Amino acid sequence: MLIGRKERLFLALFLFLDILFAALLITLHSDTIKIDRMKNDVKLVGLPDTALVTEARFVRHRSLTDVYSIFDFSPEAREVFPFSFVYDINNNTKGQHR
Amino acid sequence: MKIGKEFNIFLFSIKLLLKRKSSYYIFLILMVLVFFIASASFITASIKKELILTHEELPDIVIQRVIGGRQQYIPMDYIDKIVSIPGIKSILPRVWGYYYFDYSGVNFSIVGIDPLEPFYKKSLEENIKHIKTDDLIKRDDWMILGNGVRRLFSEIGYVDYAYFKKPNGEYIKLRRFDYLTQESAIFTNDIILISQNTARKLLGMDDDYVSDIVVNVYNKNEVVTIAAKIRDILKDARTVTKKDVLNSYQNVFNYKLGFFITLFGVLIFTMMVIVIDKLGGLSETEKLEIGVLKATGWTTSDVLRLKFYESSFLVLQAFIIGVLLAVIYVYILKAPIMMNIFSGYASLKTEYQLIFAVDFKTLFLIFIAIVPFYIAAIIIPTYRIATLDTYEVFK
Amino acid sequence: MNFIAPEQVVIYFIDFLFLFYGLYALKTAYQMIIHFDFHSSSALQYSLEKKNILVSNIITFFIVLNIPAFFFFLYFIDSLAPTVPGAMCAVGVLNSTPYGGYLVILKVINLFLLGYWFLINRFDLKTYGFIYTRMKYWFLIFIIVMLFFEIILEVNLFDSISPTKIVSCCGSVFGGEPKFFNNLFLDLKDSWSVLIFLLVFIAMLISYIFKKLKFYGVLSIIFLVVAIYSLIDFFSTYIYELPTHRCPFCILQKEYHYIGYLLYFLLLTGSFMGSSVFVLNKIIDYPTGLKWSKISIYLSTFYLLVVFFYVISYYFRTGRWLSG
Repeated sequence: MLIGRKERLFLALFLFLDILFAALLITLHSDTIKIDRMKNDVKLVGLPDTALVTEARFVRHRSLTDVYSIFDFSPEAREVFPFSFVYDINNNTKGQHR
Repeated sequence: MKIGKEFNIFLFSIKLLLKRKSSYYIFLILMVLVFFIASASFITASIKKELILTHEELPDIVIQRVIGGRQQYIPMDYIDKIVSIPGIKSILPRVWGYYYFDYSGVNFSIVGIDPLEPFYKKSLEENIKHIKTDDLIKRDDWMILGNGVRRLFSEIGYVDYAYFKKPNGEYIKLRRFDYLTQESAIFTNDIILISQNTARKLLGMDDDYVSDIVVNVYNKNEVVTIAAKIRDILKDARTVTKKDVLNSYQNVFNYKLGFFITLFGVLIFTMMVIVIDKLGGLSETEKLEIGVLKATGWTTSDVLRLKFYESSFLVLQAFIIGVLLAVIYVYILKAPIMMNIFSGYASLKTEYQLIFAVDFKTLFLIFIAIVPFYIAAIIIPTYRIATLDTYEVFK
Repeated sequence: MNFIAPEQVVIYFIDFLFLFYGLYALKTAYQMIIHFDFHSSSALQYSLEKKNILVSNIITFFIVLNIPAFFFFLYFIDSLAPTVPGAMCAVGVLNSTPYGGYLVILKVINLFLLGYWFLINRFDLKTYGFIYTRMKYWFLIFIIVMLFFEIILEVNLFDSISPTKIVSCCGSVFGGEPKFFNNLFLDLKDSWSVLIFLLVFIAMLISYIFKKLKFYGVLSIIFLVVAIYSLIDFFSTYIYELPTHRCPFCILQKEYHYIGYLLYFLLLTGSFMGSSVFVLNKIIDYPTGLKWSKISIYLSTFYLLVVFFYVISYYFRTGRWLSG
């Protein structure tokens, strides 16, 4: 036989992982309860956009604000997701209590 | 018979793979690469799906008053002016705004609701089990917290009561009444629901003013027309329709796509490094293996096929295991560290619930970005060795 | 370069692979044409015969990569539709630039050419003395030039997709306005196409039964053109269940269960196998030709059944035909 014990074990492991992968995809796919609860809460609150970034209103509810809102807060560049990683956060947040 | 032969070559290729130490490293690198890109795209796909699915529940038209490029509070009598427009199902004045909480340096979104209003009463009863809306009507000093706010308050000791500062410096004491579910934390993490009267006090509004007006219409096809009519009557109003909100969501994704193009750039350069490394030639052990095979009578095309099976097995399994780990990481472990990239620095940290959104497209994209390149990198170096004569290899 | 989406990076990188290996194959082809001589026993001839194997492997890899890349391209163009104003499916995106229509046609032609080359190569390696080698490499040079053209067109296409220009959607393109696709497919007003489609299919069937393979090959090329023509004109309206919606690309979308991918796969594979019987009739041997035309006729019949299934099921559900 060309194939040894070690290889057989190895192949079986990978086959198992592949099946696990397929099974996981299928089981997770039929998961709809969460979205209903989300929909209910969004309906109650009635406000759009995610609460992931809450620093200022032009990022929190950016669909409901207009472009000029950025100037409402201060003339400097404020914290917005990808750009902010260039700055040192600790220095930047000092004295920012508007 | 022929399939049997091919299968034997395949089995033999796995045997060779297991013997070589370098194949484990390549497997690991490819897997980690797939894992990072897959989990990043799963997270965005989930957020996108959540946004698009929940946007249906938003009101049809939001009326704002904009003067001098700034949003202002709307007088209540604006409602009377638009009430006669045909096609409008309901008009609801809303009171909401932001509250800056000095102690922790975070912003809350305060939403004033009126439990007497049938809309709010109905959706409150749907959302929160065992709620007694009568209790809410009787008193004014209640609050319903979003999940992130609830965590923050319990950390700083605001267990049953919380104090909020009014614009004139006085404090009001609010009693915690209930929570919103954790499932919707991604939308309601920073929300505090309080009564409309209290919200007016906190936001410093007069009684005959509201933040914005929400309009629902009967026929969804007429939304744009009705919005135009409203703008016609209320000269200083700005309308935001559901469609505008969706467009704004789309912009966010296009903006964040820049991030993904960068990520893919990293992926592709890593693949390039692997390819160049492979083009430099195979390792000594691989050379020796091929030499032995040739000496025992394998043809060049057999050796090429062996190498093809070897590399495709390696890269396919690396892809599958990488995606599997990403699925487990994102949807079962809730993306512990990576989720922080997507949230802001001062946000209320919490566990966000991500709904399952693995689509064929994302998987195919990652697949086609990785698998062909690794296989392509194999062709020329293997050919070079495979066509060498046996004695040259052993020399 | 204008980057619209991450998928585009992947497409460019695949193009880069084609370019790299294409140049390598071009160099080999040049050497082959100049120096290949079966009766010589020099070291050069020895290395050239080995390179023959390498090039055939590269082309096999091209084909294996090109088929998913083609469908990926269609999918990508289709997914761009929301970002181009006015476009509802791939047609709008393709039509927003002058290159779109040509690019898709060129892609199909290239797939066919690569397939023919693969077949020639297989039969060439079987012959004594590799008699087709020189012709094979002239053909390869042609294919690679075509592939380069395709890449140039593709880069141009992506560069000229603009999110601000308003385009017309598939309904108006195939409905009547004189536009590129309409010029190409003549006038689509009449439903004669279905009749021609059926006639060609019956002719194919007859020529297959009487084993006129060369004739069958010619017919299967005509079948491809007529089938796409009738798909746009007649069958697509039944798939969409809308008498005015004529479009060959919307069937790729989710609302129609991605049926388009199946249809195009059946149609392209079937007509490729059939046409190769004609194109390679000097090279291909009779039993292989018979086998291939058999597979081809099965695939074409399956295609026919699928499209007619939509028509008939529509009739049974509503009790009348679509007319528009």
